[in-house]
Amino acid sequence: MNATALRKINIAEDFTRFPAGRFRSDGPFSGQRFREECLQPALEDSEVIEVELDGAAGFGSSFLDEAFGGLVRGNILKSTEVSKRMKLHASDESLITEILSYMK
Amino acid sequence: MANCSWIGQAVSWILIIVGWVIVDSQNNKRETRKEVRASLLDLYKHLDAIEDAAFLYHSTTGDASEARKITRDIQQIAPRIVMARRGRMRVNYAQPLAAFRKAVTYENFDSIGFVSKKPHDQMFESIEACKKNLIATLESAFNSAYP
Repeated sequence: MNATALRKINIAEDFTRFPAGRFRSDGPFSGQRFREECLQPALEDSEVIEVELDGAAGFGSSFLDEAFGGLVRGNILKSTEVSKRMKLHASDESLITEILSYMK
Repeated sequence: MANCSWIGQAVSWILIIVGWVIVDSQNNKRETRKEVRASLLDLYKHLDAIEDAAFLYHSTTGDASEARKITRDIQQIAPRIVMARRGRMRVNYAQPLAAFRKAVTYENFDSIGFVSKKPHDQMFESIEACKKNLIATLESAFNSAYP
């Protein structure tokens, strides 16, 4: 596998401006779908991923937990690898604080 | 004699200018304090509105459009804090704001498994407590910056 060094994901542009819900059964733009279709493939292909959270019309905590926390719970990413492999960008610092709390 | 007169005038002007700078600076600080206070009070009303909307959402039908509005309104909190804290105010809002967002949107939100909550449900107490904690954090920062 030729892994790229860095992959950028902009949630608003690459997924939806209106993320909502935890599971696929909750709606078309759920945290589960984002994790499975965007985050996981990016982590498989790249050493580091940068996730841009600005631009979306807000996030529910259930979305954040399932999307990001689900990576660690599902053993896609180890909690010890988070700081090395995932870079989060958001003008709202509380989003980053919350996401990292789900990935411990 | 002429030299002493020139020095006296220079000292007078320097005192006038320094005095003006000090008074102007104090006036600016007072005005900034008032502006920050007004911005914070406006933000507290915004937080109250979110709490009310959350109560309505969780205790009635869990309408998707209401969920979207709540999410958008919560998103506006951080920019309002950044705007309100202009000047000397430093505030670590990340953790209390994250807790507030979680209290409102972690459970029973945007969920096919939505259940209408009773008015006395623990969730509403948690939302209120997190809102109060966020306000307390902002007030503490304000009082530190503007004693």
